[in-house]
Amino acid sequence: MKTSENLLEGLDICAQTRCRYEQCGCVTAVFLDQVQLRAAASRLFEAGYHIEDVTGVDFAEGIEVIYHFDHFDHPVDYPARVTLRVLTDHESPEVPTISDIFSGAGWHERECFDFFGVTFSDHPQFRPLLLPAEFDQHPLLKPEKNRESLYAFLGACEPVKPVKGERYHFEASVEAPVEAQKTPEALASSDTGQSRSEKA
Amino acid sequence: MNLLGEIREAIKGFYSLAVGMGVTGKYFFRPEVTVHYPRKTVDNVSTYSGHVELQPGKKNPDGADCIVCGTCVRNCPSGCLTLEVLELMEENPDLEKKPKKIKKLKALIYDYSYCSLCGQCIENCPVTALGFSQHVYWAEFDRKAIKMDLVARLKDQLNAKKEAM
Amino acid sequence: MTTETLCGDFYTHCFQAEQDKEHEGRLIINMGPQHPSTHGVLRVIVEMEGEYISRAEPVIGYLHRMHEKMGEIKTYHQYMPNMGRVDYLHALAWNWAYIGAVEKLCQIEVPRRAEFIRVITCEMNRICSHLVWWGAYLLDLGAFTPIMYSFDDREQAVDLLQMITGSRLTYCYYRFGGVRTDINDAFIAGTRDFCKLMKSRLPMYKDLVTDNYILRKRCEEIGVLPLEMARRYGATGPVLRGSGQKYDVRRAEPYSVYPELDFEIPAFPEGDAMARYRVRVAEMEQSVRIIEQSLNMLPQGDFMAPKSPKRIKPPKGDVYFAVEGARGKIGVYIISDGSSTPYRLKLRSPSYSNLSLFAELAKGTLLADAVSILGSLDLVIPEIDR
Ligand code: SF4
Ligand code: SF4
Repeated sequence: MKTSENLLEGLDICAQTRCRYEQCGCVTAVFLDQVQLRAAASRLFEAGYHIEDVTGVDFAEGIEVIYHFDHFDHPVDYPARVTLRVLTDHESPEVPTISDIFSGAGWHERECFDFFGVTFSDHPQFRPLLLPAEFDQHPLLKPEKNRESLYAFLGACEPVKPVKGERYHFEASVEAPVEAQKTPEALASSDTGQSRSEKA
Repeated sequence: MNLLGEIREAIKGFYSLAVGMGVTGKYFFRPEVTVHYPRKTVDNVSTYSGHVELQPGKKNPDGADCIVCGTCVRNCPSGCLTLEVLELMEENPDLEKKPKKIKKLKALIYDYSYCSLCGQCIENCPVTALGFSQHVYWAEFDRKAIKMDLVARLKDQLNAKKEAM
Repeated sequence: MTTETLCGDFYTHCFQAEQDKEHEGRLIINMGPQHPSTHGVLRVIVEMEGEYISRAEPVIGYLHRMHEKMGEIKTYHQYMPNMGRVDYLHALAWNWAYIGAVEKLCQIEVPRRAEFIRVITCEMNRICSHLVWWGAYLLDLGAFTPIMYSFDDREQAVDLLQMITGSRLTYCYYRFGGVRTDINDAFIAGTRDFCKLMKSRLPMYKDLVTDNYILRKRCEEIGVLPLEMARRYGATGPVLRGSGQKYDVRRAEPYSVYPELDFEIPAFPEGDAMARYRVRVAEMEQSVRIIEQSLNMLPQGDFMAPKSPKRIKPPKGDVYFAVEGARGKIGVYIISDGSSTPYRLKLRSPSYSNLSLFAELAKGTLLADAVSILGSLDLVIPEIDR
């Protein structure tokens, strides 16, 4: 099996981080531009992944839509959870749907619209799901003063791909905390991916 | 499906029915396992956690050990506890020092209708003044009736005990 | 437009609007939200072509309580009781998913004894959940007797759980770094007896129900779910294993002491309602095995980490933790901003994904079979709506 890291090889991704499974429960997080989302999802679908959930988080930079995928037949000691993260703005949040690739995403996307007001373009049945249709608010949006910067949460993960992109501006903000974090322990963990695949 | 198959299917069906009926028949002669509730009650309520109540104190046998710290109120996820505090001046004050204020528990209002019986208040109480009761069979017609003062309840309980003695 | 289109609510209108022009005359009916076979308040809009369903759409949200928002308001400790209320049938798995996520986030060590207690109680609860499903499913199919037996057995298990947790349904038993109370000898003896009882009852269940001809006719080749479709929808748990995929979070992403325990993951390749039925019955057997092993391996020691924090303030970061519930993969995703409340808390409930495939699965089946399919998905509506 391809490791989840080179799974998205060749796609124009903004950034990729390798995460410690023991700490955050997923092996890699990929930051994508919206245009790449569907391509990435198709790759994952072809590689045999299934969708776990689609959810959003309200950050100061915009609403981030988070996709979790997992694999049925991964080796026991190499968990496979992959996170895709797509950023959209507060004014007119819109992300392409992946419900035609992963049918299960359909409901999760509708839920995401209920809670965050994110529109998923080309979704075949786009309407409220959990909240009543007359209710026009999105309860999980935070008031502006409570929003935090998305970069504040990235300290635990280590970027492995060059970071770029229009929406994500990693260069300055992410590198610093990661460098600071490079204790011997963090360094040792950074090649766990390798040692795991050797074991397997 | 041909006729033979049909007949075989039918026999299989009847056989499975007979086996099932056999099971039912066997259990028909077993003792009853249900309890006819209002007339009889179950006997394991001693392990059940009913609503929250103040326990008779170890230091203060006439009331609760509560030191009015408010931890239970702060930790309750549902906000069902309210403290009413009586602030007293210290008796026999030391004339040189400023008289100290003593806080006393006046009432601990508890709204059972909001309580999720999670036990946060009980675990966090520094003097273990709270506990789960075994007051299980409790029904009221009025929602307000299950909002009560735990201090008064404890007093009633202690009085009842004294009378029984 | 005729007055006909004005009937019904928003969802009915949407459903009508999606109707093909050539099928305009077809009957659209609502099943639920108070239909006995929908186990709560699930509503399914179906378009009928005679006795056959040509289109179906589940409408959910009648029990929505916004647990995720509550998670952002309450502190980590205060959110615990919510977990017993998401899925009332397997409350301890949700307890575990949440507690486990926070423990992972804060790197809290759990004593071994507590891990075993968790395994024992969680598996007991799984058996309870499957027993309720078993009885209720058969009730859906028109068999009244089985639920009497299953509730009898469940009562034993619930009594045992009550002995240590104090509650009977909505448990709030696990704590950060352990469990609330230790288990006692009476519980251990009672659990051993319960395991024995279950072992004698399961063959009886087989005689009474599984081999029953009528049940087979109602379940076999009904609602065949191909594995590819299960994957597309992200179905997990017995629904997935009934399509032949041996995927169980307890093995795939081992947590707690499950790697040390010897148990199998039952899977049946047929993909029909009967396969899902068999998976659950076989799972009860495996859970009994797990409980017996854990009781034999139960070490002495603390049931609560001595240094378990009174106030939880996790470091910044995010965590995903998944456990295997009775209905599939339960996931809790927490983003912490370092304060005493989560920045974002997401609950991934298995029934939600499992129900979302119903629309596709029910196409072209008999209405009576749709009831069988719905039942075989083992839906718990509060968990779907959260
Ligand atoms: S048991 Fe829980 S909900 Fe009830 S009063 Fe105590 S803290 Fe509040
Ligand atoms: S936590 Fe205990 S001592 Fe403090 S106010 Fe509550 S009952 Fe009294």
